[in-house]
Parts: sequence; C-alpha cells; structure tokens
Amino acid sequence: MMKHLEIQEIVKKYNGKPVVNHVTFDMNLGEFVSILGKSGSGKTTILKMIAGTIEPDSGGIYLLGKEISRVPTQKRNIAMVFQEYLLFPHLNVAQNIEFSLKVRGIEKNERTKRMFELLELVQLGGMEKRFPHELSGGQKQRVAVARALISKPDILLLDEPFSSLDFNLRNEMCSFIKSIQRETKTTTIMVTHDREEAMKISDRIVIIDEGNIVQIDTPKGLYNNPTNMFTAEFMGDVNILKREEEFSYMIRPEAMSVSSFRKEGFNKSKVVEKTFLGSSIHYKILWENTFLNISGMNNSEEYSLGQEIYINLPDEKIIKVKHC
Amino acid sequence: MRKFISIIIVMILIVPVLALLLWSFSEMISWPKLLPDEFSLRIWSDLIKSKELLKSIITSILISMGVAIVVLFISMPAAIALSQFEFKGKKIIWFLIFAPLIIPSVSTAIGMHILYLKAGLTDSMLGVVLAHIIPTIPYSVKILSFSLELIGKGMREQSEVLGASMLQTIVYIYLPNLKPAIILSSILVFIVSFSQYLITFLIGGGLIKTLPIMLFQVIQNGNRAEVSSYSLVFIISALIATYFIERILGKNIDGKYMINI
Repeated sequence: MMKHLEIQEIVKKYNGKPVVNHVTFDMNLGEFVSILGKSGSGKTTILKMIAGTIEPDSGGIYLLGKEISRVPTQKRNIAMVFQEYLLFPHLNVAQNIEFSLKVRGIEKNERTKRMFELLELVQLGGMEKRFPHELSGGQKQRVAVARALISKPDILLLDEPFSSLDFNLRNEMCSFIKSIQRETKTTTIMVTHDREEAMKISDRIVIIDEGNIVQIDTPKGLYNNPTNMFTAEFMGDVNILKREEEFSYMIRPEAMSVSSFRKEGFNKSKVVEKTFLGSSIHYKILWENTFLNISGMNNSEEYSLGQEIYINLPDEKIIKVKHC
Repeated sequence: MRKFISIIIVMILIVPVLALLLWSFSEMISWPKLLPDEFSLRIWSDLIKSKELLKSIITSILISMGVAIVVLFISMPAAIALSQFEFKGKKIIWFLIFAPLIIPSVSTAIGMHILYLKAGLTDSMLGVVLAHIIPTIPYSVKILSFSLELIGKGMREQSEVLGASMLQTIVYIYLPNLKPAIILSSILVFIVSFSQYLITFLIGGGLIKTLPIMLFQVIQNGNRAEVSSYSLVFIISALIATYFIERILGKNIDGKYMINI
C-alpha cells in the first residue's frame, strides 16, 4: 500500500555542515508521529522542509506518492502551527481562522460556514469577534490549530506546540490536540524536545540526534527495547550493569524486583539515597560495587536509608544496547 | 528640574518661530535690530495676493507627494528583501541605500544633472520627483525594514504555509501591520523632499519653482521681514501636508481589508 508521506534520504547542510543527515521515514494516513530530539538536533529543519519554507539539498519528500520537495509552500496542502502561534494581530479570531480559505479564493458563505465548524471543533464558540491580544495562551493555540485545519490539510505540522504554555495547561492542550487529531483523522507530525509529551500523544516517535535518526518505534517499543544507549537514556532512567566494547547491558529502575528479606535468587544490597517524588519513591542502592536506581510506588513497602534490601534482576528485563 | 528642562526645550523650539512671526509683521527689518520699529501688514497682504507663491506651494506639495508615493513603492520591496531574506551582497546594497546620507548632495546632483540632460528629464516635474528619490530613500527603507524585522520572518512563513502568495502576504499581513511605519516614513520622505533646494535647482533648472527655490530668491533680496513670512508659509504648508498624509494613510491602510474586499 502507498504510504501517506514518505521522506527519503533528505539532507540539509548549513555552511557545509549537515544539520539533517540522510533522514528517512514514512507515515500512514491518520498517524501521529513525533520527532523527538534536543534543541539544535535538526528536528525543526525537517519540519520546515516538509512545510516547504526550507528546501532540502538532496533527497525526496513524497506526499501521496508525489514528489513535493520543490513544490512551493503555497501549493502544498500542508498546514503548520508554529511554536509562537503567530496569530495575525490585526485580524480577529474569525478572520484568522478563515485566512487560508480567503487566500485560496473560497467564497464568503462557504468560508463562514467552515469557520464556525472549526470554532466549534476547538471549543471557542462565541469568540469569533475577539482579537488575538484578548485571548489566553491556550485559546491562542486553539485558534492556531483551527486556522491550520480549516483547509483540511493532508498533513498537520506542529512545532513545539506546548513549550510556551504553563505546566497545567500543557497537559490539557496535549490531550485536547490528540482528541482533535483523532476526530479529524489528520496525519500529524509534531516536533518536541519533551519526552513525556511525545510519549503521551504519539503513535510513533522518531528520535533524532545531530541530524541523524537514532531509532523509530512506538513509545513503548522505544522505552522497553531501545537498540542504543542514546535512546535508552533519552527515554528514561537506566541502570548500566555491564559495559563491553560495543554493547552495554542495562535495566530500567522499575524492572527490578525488591524485597526487604532474603529470598531465592535475590542479591543483598543497601539503600544509600532516598528521594520522595509524590506518587513514587526513588532509591539509590549499592549492589556489589555498583550503584543502582530503583523506584517503588508510594503505596508499596517503604525502605529506610541504610536498610539492607534484596534485589532480583530478571534476565528477560536486561536490555543489550549499542554504544553510539 | 524637569519643568525647567521642558521650558528650555520649548524656548529653543518656539522662540525662533515667534521671532519669525514678529518680523513678518514689519515693513522691513535689518540686522542687528531685534524688534521692528513699526508694524505693518504689507508683506502678508502682498503674499496672499501673490500668484507665484500659491503656485510654488502647489508645485512643492505635488512634487513631495509624488516623491512620497514613488519612494514607498520602491522601498517596500527593498525593505522586505533586506529584512526577510538572506542573499549575497546584502551589505553592499545597504551601503548603496545609505550612500546619499554620506556623499555630499552637490556631487550626486551634478552627476544626476548630466544624466538627466541626456535623458531629457531636466526642467520637468517628473525629473525633479525622480531626483528627490535619492536623498529620501535611506529614511524610508530604514524605517520600513526596521518595522519588518520587528514583525519577524515567522509571520511571512505562517502566511505562506496557509497558502498566501507573496503579494497576498504583503497586502493582507504586512501593510496593516506596517501602518505606523508607512505613515512615519511617508511623512519623513515628504519633509525631506519638501526642503530640497540644490537638487531641485539643478534638475529643475530654475523653471520648477518649489517653495525652497522661492525662499532662496527672497533670501538673496535681503529683507528679513520678507524672509520671515516665507519661512512661516514654508513651515505651515509642511505641517498641513503632514497632517493630511497621516489622515489619508491612517484611514486607508487598515486591517479591515479582509471583510471589505
């Protein structure tokens, strides 16, 4: 079956230095993919090449089988929500949302009809006459999303959509965007540096570092089965058990079993540090010559500092990862 | 202290104008006298009757309005290119645009004169309008590009991603947001053009009589009372014209494009 979007070997160099280096991945219709990486990893450049505001040096971008990497932005049916929302300050909510239909020459009645549908979708009914400076951060983002979706884009691009919202609003908008994406079945790519955000919202995650794809998988796949150290450490806490030349063996903190008394197959260790984190408690323990991080739920048995405890490292939970 | 400073500033700005007003109501006043011996309305009544003066005011306003419009159309694309895009030779273009502020206008005017003679543009209003572009364009490009930098590249990218062409982006996004900058630069261009003497004199060949040309003739006559009255006319017509520029542009460049068109 033809893929909805295919990115093949795209390269972008600035001053001879590759910022995006032979990046290849594809997407199915209706899928939500996040590009996750640190700042400066080239993730926004990938997004802008798909949007068409930056042209790749080489490689191809295929939308519904058609090469689009040289097609001007205006002629691609791709919408992008920028990090700063970039609502047009001189236009009210209705005019902002209608903008892309207006410039495409859609007639007024049709525009207004669609605008009200979108306003309803983003739950801003009755706000069409407001101006951007009269809206809160969350409302601005809703308008930006409505404005992007009104032209029924083949792909919706989101550039760090939650980074300028405060913490509580971030969670709310995250599930809101996810529900809208499901409802409209819009194929969506989000760029973010926030692992939790990406895990919450995405069907699959593309991990990128210094312009190279490190690993692509579902959030669960990346967490449980990282193939390399970068992914393993980026996706969560790790305990490195053994280092070899090419590979390391590691285990996730919650994958170990802990007991306060001696048991068959359990090894003795000692609590050296204890951190209370609300729903969970993290411990640092000393096992033979190795410090390990383990975590327990707040409602399970609690250990005290200096206490002797026994741990078990199940073989099937030990992950072999490649060094980068 | 602040009151004291404001009084000094007002004195510096207002007193010379008051002196002009006082002098213009005398028959004749010559240096080193500060106050006229007797007051008279002769100069003003002559001025009001003078068809030549009225004609020069109209010529000046037409030329400067023309310059303001032409310069706006030239500097808008230039400012967009310089503030929104990266390209080779950008610094050289900036230097060329600012060159008229550094290079004495005598040298450019003489160069222009030869060129305009060949092109048959001398002694015409069109020639003068074109010549006034040179000293006015640095102000316009700088003001517009500064405002465009404040608006940022993001707005253009956002507009393009939403499907707008470059022209649509200019009309729907840039123009409404640049309104204060367009008004300011048009007023500045108008005033700079309105005060040009040398370029107008050379290119216009004395046939295109703007207010500054008239003023210089009067200065040569040496009657300070007459000079004062001409200066006042100069100031008042510039003020009235700038007021109208602001009114006209303020009304027409508006965010309401979206519904009206």
